[in-house]
Amino acid sequence: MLQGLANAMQWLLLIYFLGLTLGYLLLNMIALHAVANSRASRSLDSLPHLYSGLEPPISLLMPAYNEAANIAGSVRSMLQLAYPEFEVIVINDGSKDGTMDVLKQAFALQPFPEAYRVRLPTRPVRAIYHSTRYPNLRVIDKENGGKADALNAGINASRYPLFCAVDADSILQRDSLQRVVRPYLSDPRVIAAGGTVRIANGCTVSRGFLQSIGLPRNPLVLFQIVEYLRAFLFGRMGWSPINAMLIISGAFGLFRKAAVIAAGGYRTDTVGEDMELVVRLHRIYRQTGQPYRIVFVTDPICWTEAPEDLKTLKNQRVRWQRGLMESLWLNRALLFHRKGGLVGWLAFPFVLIFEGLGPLIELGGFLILAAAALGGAISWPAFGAFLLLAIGVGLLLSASALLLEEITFHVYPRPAQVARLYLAMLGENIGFRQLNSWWRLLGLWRWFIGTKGHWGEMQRSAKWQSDK
Amino acid sequence: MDYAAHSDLLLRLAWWGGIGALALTFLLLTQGVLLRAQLMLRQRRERRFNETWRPIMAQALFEIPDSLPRLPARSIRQFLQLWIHLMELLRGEGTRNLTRLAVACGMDRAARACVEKRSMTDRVLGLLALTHMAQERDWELMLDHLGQENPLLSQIAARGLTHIRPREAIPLILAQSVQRKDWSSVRIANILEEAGPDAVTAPFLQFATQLPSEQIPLLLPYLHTIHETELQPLLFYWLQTEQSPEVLVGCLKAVRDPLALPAVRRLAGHADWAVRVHAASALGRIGLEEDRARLVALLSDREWWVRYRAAQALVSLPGMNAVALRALQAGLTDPYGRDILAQVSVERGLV
Repeated sequence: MLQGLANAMQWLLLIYFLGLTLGYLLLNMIALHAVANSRASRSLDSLPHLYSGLEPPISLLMPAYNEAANIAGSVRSMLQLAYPEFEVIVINDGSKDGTMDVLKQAFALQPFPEAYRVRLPTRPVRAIYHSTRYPNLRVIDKENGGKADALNAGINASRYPLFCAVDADSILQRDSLQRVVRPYLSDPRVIAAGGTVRIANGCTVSRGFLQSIGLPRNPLVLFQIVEYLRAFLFGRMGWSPINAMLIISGAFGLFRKAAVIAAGGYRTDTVGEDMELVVRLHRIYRQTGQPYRIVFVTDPICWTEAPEDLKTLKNQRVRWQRGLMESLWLNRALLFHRKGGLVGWLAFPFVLIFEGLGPLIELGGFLILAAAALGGAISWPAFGAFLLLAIGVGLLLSASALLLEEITFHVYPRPAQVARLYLAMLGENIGFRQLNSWWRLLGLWRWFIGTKGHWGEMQRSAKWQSDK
Repeated sequence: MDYAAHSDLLLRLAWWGGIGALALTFLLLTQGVLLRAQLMLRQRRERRFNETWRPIMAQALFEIPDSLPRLPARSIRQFLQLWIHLMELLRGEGTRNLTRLAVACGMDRAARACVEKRSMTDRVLGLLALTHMAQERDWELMLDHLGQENPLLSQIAARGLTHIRPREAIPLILAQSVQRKDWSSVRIANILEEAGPDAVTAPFLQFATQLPSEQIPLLLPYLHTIHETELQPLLFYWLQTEQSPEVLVGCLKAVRDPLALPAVRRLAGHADWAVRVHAASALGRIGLEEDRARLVALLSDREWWVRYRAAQALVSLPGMNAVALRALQAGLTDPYGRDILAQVSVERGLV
């Protein structure tokens, strides 16, 4: 019995790792091809840019919950973005820590008699304020309903055809909006665009803008940097050219408002509202046969703070895994739908197997093999061979992400920084990845048993921030 | 026995799969190290280039230096990049001197050679450099590239043509712009703006008036590139004759001439709310006091945007001051109309 189970598990693991490697290598190839194609146009990026006057105006939505410590700086940095016409809407989602008072004081807010339209239902809005100092800043004060609810309230109040959902702790480059809007200028079918999110820990940030790029000392954050490179550089860069990207990070994404409203806005009953919205847009547009594009902007345009302690990181990963499974489950009609195209027939099953069920297969498989080795059903060298395969494949994927980074952006300027990332790649695959798989398995379990999710609070150190 | 054979095969597959992955990892890391070394060498070379050539280009804005250092072939791309960067920033005499400098360094020949290369980056840089040099002999080359499948190259060629013979180039570009779905309207608008209304207006009007209705929307992003005085009669004509909401919206956005008032008033009751929104805005620009009643009616429109633009238009009408606004607000029975007027009054600082 144990022998048979061990044998089946060995085959499953072998096929799983083979599929994982081939799948990601294929994505890597697509990403490389996309990079080569965009290289010529990127050579023009360094040229001075003038506004054409045709850039569509953008509403920047910043949901805030208990962000009193950072909110003023974040809003100030958003107000300094270089873009011809945009408005900033801060949505105070029932904060209990004086976020609203900070905003009132910092931006001289006055109550504003807005004829507020409820196009997406939300928790009640208490009041709307506008800044007497910055004409393009408004603040919505509403009852707590979660991030998705706050974003929906922001969409209701927004005035422009495109909205950009930004986390209050996101650090944008001054030209982030100019870069992320480009796909909309060249292709009217674009309904959503996301950009590369990088980790800001270790960087120097002043007045909300990135001053210099560095690496943190904390190994946990270094591991996450390697992980982010893998996720963004060939995860998303690979899916985007075939219009099959299933997620745009909640930290920074630009959406066509009419498309999102028609889809029903953000769902408030999931912890992965950012991914769920993108998967839903795919599903609706595919099922109705409407032409659309959901694209990825490769430039590093948004920086965010990564958790520095195990507890916060664990909470984040459990939440992400639950969000992933909820997004897929809620839109399961897309899976192998006859009009599903590459999203329904390739991206959806790939993400479901390798990202959704991956931790179950990896950890479950190794636990069974370990039990089989202990019970004498397989030899320890056989167990070691599968461990070697798992670690080898992980290292290969991380190395290909680092290589892609070296070919494209080489964001980390010093060779010593690159060397540290190579070292981090080892740690990420030996220890961190397994721990992460365990947390993801917990997330999978919580999704399965249906524990109620919440926005979650992150321990922010913001050591890299400076107001000087 | 079967189990043993299976296990043996599995073990070998897993083992060699793991070893293969590690070997590939090592190869990728080595390539990464080599790429970094290459990058550092390139950066060093670029620093040296900048130390030599930046001062020369700065001097060349006023006068061409008597002697110029030799430019190694591997620095051509960098020269073109720096030179194009300055050309994009500057206007007038400085650009003419910089062009003379580039020609003196043989960069016109180098740029033509770049256009023939396989690398897309070289081709783009070469074509862009020739665009700025604007030499008559490159007209044919630009013309060839205008029909290029690659949208980036064809749009650069379009710009190049306007730099060489603007009056001849504009009709060619306009004809392409309604055919090429892959052209960016922003880029084309920039090209037309750069060519200037004197060059664009006449061919634009001639082209626009012969265009079938279904293609008119494709020209709407370029309306602002022609002389305002010539644009208004065209808009007036389209507002009278066209039915497509997209065209009507495009015209209403640009209309500035009170001659179009009857058409705008008629469109304030259009079935498509997007048309009503822009008709309300247009009334705010060209409307008269007698349009007040029409705009007040739009304050009760079922679409928020129509109400909002109507309120904005109302406060912009001649004779509308804080007192008149309060009186108007007091007389409104529709709560939607009252709310939107209150919002716009605060926005405009009228309370």
